[in-house]
Amino acid sequence: MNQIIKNLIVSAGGVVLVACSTVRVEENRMETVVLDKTDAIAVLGRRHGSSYNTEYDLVSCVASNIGHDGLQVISETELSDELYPWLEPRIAPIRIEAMLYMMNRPTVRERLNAMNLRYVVWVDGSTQTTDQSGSMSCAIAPGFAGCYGMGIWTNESGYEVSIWDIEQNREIDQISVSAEGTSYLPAIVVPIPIIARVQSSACNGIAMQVKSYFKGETGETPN
Amino acid sequence: MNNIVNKYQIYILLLSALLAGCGGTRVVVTDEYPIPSLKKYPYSAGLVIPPEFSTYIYQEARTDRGMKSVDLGAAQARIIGNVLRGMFATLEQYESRPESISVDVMFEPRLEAFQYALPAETSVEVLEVWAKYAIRISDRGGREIADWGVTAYGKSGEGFMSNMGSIFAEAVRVAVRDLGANIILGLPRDIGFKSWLDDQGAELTP
Repeated sequence: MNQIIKNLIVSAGGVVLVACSTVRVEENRMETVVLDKTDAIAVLGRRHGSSYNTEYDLVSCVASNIGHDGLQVISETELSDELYPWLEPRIAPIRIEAMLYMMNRPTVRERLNAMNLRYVVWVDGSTQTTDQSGSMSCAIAPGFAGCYGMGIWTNESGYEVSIWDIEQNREIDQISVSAEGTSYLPAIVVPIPIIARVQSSACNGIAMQVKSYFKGETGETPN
Repeated sequence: MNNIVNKYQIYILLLSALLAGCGGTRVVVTDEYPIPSLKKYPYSAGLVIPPEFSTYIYQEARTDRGMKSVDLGAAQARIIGNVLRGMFATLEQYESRPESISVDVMFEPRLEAFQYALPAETSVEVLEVWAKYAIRISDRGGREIADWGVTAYGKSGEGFMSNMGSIFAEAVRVAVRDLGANIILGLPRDIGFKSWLDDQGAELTP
């Protein structure tokens, strides 16, 4: 019996199952662009909302995903440091006109030119737990340790993406991505997490649409 | 016998882990911050950062918040130094106020308040940090130009299975950067400092 429990623990420890999540992508292309090989793209998160924060790891995931496809991407950290303090949440430009005002500063213009930055991808939104239920109890006693119960929670993502062409001073694309998934944590002695990777799905949805935009492809919806 | 020893070793390990969890989170904040890209005032500045400011650690008095301490000193000292270095032609740093001032303008910051709200204490899934500073600004003759108040605010989202220490450190990092941004934007608008700048014949914004 002990051997069975041991095997169960070992196999549960090695396996994290993935639950399903659904992603919905909508796009409003205002203009199409032909990306020059020297043009760089920066992906930035919006953090001015009072009740949520666009996650740093989501922004970094989108940037890295876009960068894998050969596009020249500047990370959020690098750009925020280079242009400090002009991209801090308190003063980051909400509209393209404010970006123009910021870029009129010679020191800012000089640094942007040095980086060949042409496009800014703003990501605004968050992933939140909207519903959770179930209960689980765990106990440790001499010779035995285990959990029993079931936990269920639903995560929902909602992100609005806006792409700015800072050379032409205009907004050129808007993308809306929503994702949803339910995770399960059943436990009979050992908890077995079945996690819906909602934020990761939203990241893939955003990155796929941004890449498709810069490649001049017609709009596609990721599965 | 060996089995019994092994069993007790496991119990001691589990108990130690549980007790370590009861100790509360210690937050260590990065002290790497950028020097801003600004047009500099053509004056020399001095900055007094006493050891109690650069090594400041906030200690949580309450035991029911799961927090132990926030190591804020190095971060706050670094950002103020970097910001003033970006705003003025030169910057001299001191640990205590020198007897004779050899710079055009001297800055002496002090922390007046530090507060935070955990996600469990608010209706939103973010951890918020707020700090209030006062900066005494004096001229070459040691006369006070202003005792200027400036705040810092930062927030960080709570992620799935994220660790409280890293969320807290992220919120403090954002707040420290916000302090720098507030100094850059707010200082030229302070009446006392503005009037000193007018006397020097300088432009109002860096």
